Amino acid sequence: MKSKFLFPAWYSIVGYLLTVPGFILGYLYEFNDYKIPGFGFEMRKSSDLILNKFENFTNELAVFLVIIGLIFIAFSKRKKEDELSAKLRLNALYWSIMFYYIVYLIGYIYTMIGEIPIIEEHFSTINLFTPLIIFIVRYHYLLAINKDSYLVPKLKFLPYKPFKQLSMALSILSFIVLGIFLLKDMESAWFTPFTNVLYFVMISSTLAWAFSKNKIEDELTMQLRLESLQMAVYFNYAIILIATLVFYSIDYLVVLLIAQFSVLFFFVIRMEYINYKNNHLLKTVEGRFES
Amino acid sequence: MKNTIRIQRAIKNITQAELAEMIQVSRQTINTIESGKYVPSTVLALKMARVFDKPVEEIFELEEMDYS
Repeated sequence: MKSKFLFPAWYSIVGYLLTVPGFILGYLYEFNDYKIPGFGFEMRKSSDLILNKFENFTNELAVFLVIIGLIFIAFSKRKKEDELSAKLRLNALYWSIMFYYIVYLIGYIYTMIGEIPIIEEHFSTINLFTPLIIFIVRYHYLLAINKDSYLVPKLKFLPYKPFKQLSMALSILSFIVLGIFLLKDMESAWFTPFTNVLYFVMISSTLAWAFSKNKIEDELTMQLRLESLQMAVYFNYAIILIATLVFYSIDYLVVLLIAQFSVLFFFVIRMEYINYKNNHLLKTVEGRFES
Repeated sequence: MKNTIRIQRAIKNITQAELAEMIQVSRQTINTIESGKYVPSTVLALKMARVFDKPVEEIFELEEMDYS
C-alpha cells in the first residue's frame, strides 16, 4: 500500500500555525459574537431580512484558517512515509468518515425531533471539521501505539451479500426520488417529513454502500479505498472553501448541505469508476488473447 | 518495478483468471499488477512465487525509479 497526494512534511507545522488562531477566532465569533472591527465592506445597497448591508468576514476567515490548517496537518507526509503509514492512514480515514456520518445521522434524527442537546444550533458549524479532527486524532493515536509493535487493527466491512447491492439500489433510488421532489418544489418539499426520511435513507444507504465489501476484496481494493477516501475528503473541503468564498446565507447553507454527503458520493462514484476502468482494461487484454 | 508474470503464466500455461483464483484475488488485481500499475504486497508476491515455483526475484525486479 502506498500513500499518494500528500503535502511535504513541513506543511504540518504551517497547519498548526493556521489552525490554532483559526479556532480561537472561530470560538470567539461563534460563542461571543466577536467580529474583527473593519474587516469587511459594504456589499449591498441596503439590508433586508437575511442579508446585511455590511458583510464582515471574521467567520469566513476562521473557517478558512481552520480547514486549510487541519488539511495540512492531516495530509502532510511523515518524515519517513512508508507502507505502514499508508495503512494507518487508511485505517484513520475509514474511522473518521464512518464516525462522522454516524454522528451526522444521529444529529439529523435529533433535528427532525427537536434540538440537539448541549451543542444545539452549533451542530453544522462543528460538523464542518469533525472528519479532519477524528482523522488526525485516530492517525496519531495509531502512530503512538505502533512505536514498538507493528500491529494495525483490521478494518471491518459489511458482507458483500446482501449489503452491497441492496444499499446501492436503495441509495440510487432515494437519490432520484429526492431529486425529483426537490426539482418540483425546492422550498416547501425540503421540509416535509417524507423528504426528511428520504434524505436519511439516502445518506445511510450510501454509507452502507461505501462500507460493504466488493465481490472479491483484496489488497488492491484496499489501496483504492485509501486513495478514494482521501480524494473524497479533498473534494469535500474544496467545495466548502469555494462556497465560503462565493456564497452567502441561504445559498451557502444549500452548498453546505451538498457538502454533507459529497464525501460519500465522491467515494462510491470513484470506486465504481475505477472498477469499471479496470474491468475495461481486463476485457481488452482478454480480447487480445482470444483473437 | 518490472515483472515477468505474463511470461511465467505462459510457461505454466495458466490464464489471469486461473492465477487470480489460485491466490484469491480479483482478475483486475492480476491485470493491474501485470501491467505494472500496482505493486503487490510481500504475501501476494510469495503466493505467486509458489504458484510459478520460482524465487520472487525471478518474477519481480527492482528498477532505478523504485529508489526515488
